[in-house]
Amino acid sequence: MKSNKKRRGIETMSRRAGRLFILPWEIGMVFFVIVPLFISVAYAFCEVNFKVGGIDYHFVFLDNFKYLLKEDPYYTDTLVSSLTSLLYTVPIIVAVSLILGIVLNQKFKGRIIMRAIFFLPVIIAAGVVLDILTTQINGQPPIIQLGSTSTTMSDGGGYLDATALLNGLRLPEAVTGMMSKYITMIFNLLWRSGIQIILFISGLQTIPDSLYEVSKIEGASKWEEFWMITFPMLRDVTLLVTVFTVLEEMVSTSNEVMSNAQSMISGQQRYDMPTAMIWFYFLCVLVMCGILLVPLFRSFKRKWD
Amino acid sequence: MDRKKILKKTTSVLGSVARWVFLISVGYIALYPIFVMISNSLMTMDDVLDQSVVYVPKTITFENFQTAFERLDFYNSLKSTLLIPILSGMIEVVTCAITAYGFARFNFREKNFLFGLVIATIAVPSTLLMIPQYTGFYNFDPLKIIAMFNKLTGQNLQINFLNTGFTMWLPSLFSVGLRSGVFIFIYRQFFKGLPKEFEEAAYVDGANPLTAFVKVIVPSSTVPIVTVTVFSLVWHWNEYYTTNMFLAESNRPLAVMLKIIAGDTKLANGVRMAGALIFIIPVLTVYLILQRKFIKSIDKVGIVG
Repeated sequence: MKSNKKRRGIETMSRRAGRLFILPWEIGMVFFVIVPLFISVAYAFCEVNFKVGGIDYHFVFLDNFKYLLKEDPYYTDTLVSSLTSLLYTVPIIVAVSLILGIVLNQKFKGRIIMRAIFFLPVIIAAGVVLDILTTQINGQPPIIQLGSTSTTMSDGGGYLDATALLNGLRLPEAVTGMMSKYITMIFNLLWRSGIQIILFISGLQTIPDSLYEVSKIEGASKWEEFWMITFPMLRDVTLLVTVFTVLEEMVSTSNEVMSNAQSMISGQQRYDMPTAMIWFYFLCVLVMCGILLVPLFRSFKRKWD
Repeated sequence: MDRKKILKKTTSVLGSVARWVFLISVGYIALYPIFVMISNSLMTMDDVLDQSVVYVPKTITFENFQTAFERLDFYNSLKSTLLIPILSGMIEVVTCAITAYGFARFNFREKNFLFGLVIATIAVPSTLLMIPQYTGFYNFDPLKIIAMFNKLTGQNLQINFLNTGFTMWLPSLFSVGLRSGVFIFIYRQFFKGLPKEFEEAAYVDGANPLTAFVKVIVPSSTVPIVTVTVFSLVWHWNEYYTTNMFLAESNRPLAVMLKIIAGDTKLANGVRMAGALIFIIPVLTVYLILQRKFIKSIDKVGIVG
């Protein structure tokens, strides 16, 4: 009886202390995220005009969306291309960063230096420097190309020399075109997988060595080891990385819907149409993720648990 | 027996050769833009147009750096970078830890729902929030106290936070700043892994949760603190959209200045490259200093979904 009372006391204390610790975040969340977010939803259903001394808006319900889907000459195209590029870039980024994470996690001389090099894209790719590297100026081709949908690489591909290299092999042009496109794509993807590699490395660190020892005794090959131990143990990290990659790709400016919306805001000072663009795009991504990811990870779970 | 040994030796040598070929070729991709930036920034215009010049310029010039230095207004913009985004990044390192501790250690009913919200904030693009936040900062009055005061007294008070550091410091202070969701997540994973006995000992000694957090948890959490600090520094250093929106000319940080240079088509390519180098060198130096600790800390963070 007495200990029960005491325990309840501890629980109350724990509840109070926990709520106290997150109280600042709750306040910030309401004022700096939730309220602005609701306002932006409202803007998507309004016609917004900026004028001196304030904002003038009136409710137009679905007109913005109707315009985007029926009349806007670019929106549906960019939407479809952004969504399809999400469909193949995300799995490739996850796979590439998994492979690199595994290689970089092995014990070998100089791995500290290699890891330092692989972290470089995280520093550079996060910002304006990438804009400089990827924009074409004065007729010179950009140093690196982002957005794997771009096909211009085959014209100005001299920078990576993939085309020249493949031409030497005397393969049919269609094949070299394809291959150089994929090599370029890997080049671009590495630039977006810095954080994912780090997440995978830290996930790999948590797998106990004893599991590998057991499998060695049982005579498992490396291949079996990967599929039976490494991959199942990384399930949660993989889910995290996948979700993170989807989110990153979704909001990144190399994505046409986002970059169009952004240039509309800063260029034309419009806000109603871009928010409608982004919200509709979000909705599509959410539905797509729901359809594809949830059953995938459910089936993983059933298989391994 | 001997043959087996030789076979084992050859496979291990072959394996490490394959690993190095793979790592060097991929590492080249990561370092490539840096090489190009360095070589282009040292070239004169003639060398840029000369087809025979590939990496090493014929005449080395530092003119590009001089021009870039002036155009960046380096000292002024460095000062505002340190004072506004970097300071807010450091605030985030502290406040996110506090929030994360609340989520990691205490139990209260709405905890999981609220933590879901933390994850959801990662997905919110700043583009959507910017205009509502802009108007919010222009007339800062979240609780409508000032409006009420004005109504009662007939005065016309207004707090305008635009073009001040508060636009970045305030959200960071309430741990809803730039990428706080990621930081809270990293911290929480680490705190959950710490043994509970840590604080229980402190509680026996009569500490309250806050002192237990400061005296016991923080000293044993260098690992996530270093990780979050590196990420926060890099991301805040690179931050361009919010600072461009909220800060006027007098307070422009380096990233915004670099963006202006990047968009100036009249400038030579070498100047843009030099500007980009000047921009990444400070953050690269900090990273190289912290990287030993950082890479080690990645090994230990053990982020598991």
